[in-house]
Amino acid sequence: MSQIPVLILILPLLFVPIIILMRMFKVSYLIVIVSTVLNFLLITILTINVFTNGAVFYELGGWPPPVGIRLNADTLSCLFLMLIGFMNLVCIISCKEIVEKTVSSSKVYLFYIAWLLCNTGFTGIILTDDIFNMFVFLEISSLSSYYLISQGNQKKSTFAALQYLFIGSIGAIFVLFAIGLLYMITGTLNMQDLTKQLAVVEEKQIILFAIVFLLVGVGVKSALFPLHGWLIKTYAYSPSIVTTYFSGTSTKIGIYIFFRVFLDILNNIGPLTLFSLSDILIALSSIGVVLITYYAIKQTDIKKMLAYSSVGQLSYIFIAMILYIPDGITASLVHVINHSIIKTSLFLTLTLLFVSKKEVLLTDLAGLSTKQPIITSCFLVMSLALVGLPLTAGFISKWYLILSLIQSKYWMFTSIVVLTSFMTLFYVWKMIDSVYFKENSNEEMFELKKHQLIPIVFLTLLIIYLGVETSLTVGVSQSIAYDIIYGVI
Amino acid sequence: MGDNVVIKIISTLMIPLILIFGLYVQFHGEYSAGGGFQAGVILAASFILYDLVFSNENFGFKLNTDIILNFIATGVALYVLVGIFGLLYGGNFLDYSSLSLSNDTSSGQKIGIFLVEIGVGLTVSGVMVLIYKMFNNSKA
Repeated sequence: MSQIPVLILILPLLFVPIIILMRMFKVSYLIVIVSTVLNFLLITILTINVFTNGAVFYELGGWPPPVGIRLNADTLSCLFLMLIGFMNLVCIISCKEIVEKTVSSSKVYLFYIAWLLCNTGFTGIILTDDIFNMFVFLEISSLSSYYLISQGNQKKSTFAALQYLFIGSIGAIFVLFAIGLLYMITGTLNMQDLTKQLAVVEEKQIILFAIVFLLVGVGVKSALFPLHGWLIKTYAYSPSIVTTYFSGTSTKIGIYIFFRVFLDILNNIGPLTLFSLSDILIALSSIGVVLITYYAIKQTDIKKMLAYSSVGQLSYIFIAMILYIPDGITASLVHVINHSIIKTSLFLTLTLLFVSKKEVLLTDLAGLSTKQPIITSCFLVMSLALVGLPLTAGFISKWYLILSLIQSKYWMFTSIVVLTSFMTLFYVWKMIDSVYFKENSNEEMFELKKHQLIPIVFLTLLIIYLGVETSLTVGVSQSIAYDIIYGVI
Repeated sequence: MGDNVVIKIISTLMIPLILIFGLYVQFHGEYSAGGGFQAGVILAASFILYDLVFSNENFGFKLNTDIILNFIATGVALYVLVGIFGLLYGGNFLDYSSLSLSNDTSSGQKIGIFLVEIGVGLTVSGVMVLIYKMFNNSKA
């Protein structure tokens, strides 16, 4: 029981060499699915334990911090762990046929290894209590995601991977530099020790430098508005199952690091108010969300349109977070969950419908309603959830976002959020329009197998469930938000 | 490049020295500067030098990508298994004191570090040689 935090991390690491050693027997998918299901079970047990008995700490090698490295599973990390674990499970379950069709059979085991390592990196970032370890896991996940992106079987995907490599490496160096600065003035890398030491540090200038570097580095990873360029190309040109996986996990990890660093480690200094970080961020996000929604309307490629929409929704998350009131933080956490589920289900639907297509244009959706009625209704629900209609999950998070903006008396930003929500309706309507009202031009629409419908229908029902029964997501997020505001976490 | 006599003679002299130095760095890693990473790179350097100079000769020793991959996997597996060994004996992950043969727990620390460094060395040298092989193959 007490060993669960480390088992979540090392079981995938143990399965990776087994996949390499057994690469001749074509059992990589079997091993991956065993590892993923085991991982999800362990995460569920850990989460239940943390929410009933409080945070769990794990000292690696039996060395206590600040000398040793410690794993820390508190409510915030368990929320994100559950999210990542669930998204990973959904993607892995539905990916077998797609991977066989897109990746050449001699490289399938490498693809799955990169996937496992990427997921290990994500869970490591969430679980670790050591700020340098967080950087190492960030690099593990980034390096394997560069490989995953480059497997898109077209020249543009290699280019997208290379661009992400350059931008991602620059971001990682900024993070490393910030960690170096914090280590210089405090002499510790353990997060909780760092929090204590930073409260008494005199050199506010150096902390300012560290905050700026962290903001840029983490901003790259979480696609904060002016740093979002890599995300569009990555989502558009990587293999569509990888896009599905990343849409629910990759940028959310950026958000998690943001929470952990700015609202937990540096919380005592109050980086959002002391260095007026919130003004900069809220201005950037507001300009971003308007521009990005405008770009999304102009796209004809659906993957690009959804990628722009992701950046827009991430701006909502940022706006809600930096209000620094309980309702705002609740709104951002709920939106992280809801948006992950909505975007992943949208991308998954597209992936399963157009397995062999490299670009999915709006016109390709024409005539879907007559051929695939079940999928079409699911697609409708997902699209409306993206807009934020009542009875869907998207409504809950938008409701809390607008509520918290009104509480903070940011009238201009309230109107921006309402305006962009209406603008979202434009590009979602373009999709619904071609699904229902356009004539069927092409006959080569992919026939779905019955068992591939299951994850899509399940995710759709989940979207409706989370839109009606909010006690799970909102309740948990609210308790975390109060913990953050009152500095308990 | 393999046709030059000077290069051949010098590398026959150099390769054993590099190998021994690599092993020295590997096994003295826990006492002095060095360890698995550095030793892995030094050992890989000797293999790469061998392959650069003698790849045209029929010595019967050729770098094989499959075998290198197995070495890489074994290194990682060794590391994780040493860590899990601590779990089985009731300690935490990577708790070396469970490895001790006598009652003195510090001997377990030595054995643990030793095994883990061997795993690191195997993986690092394997990866270095594999990178070299990949560049070599893409040229041909």
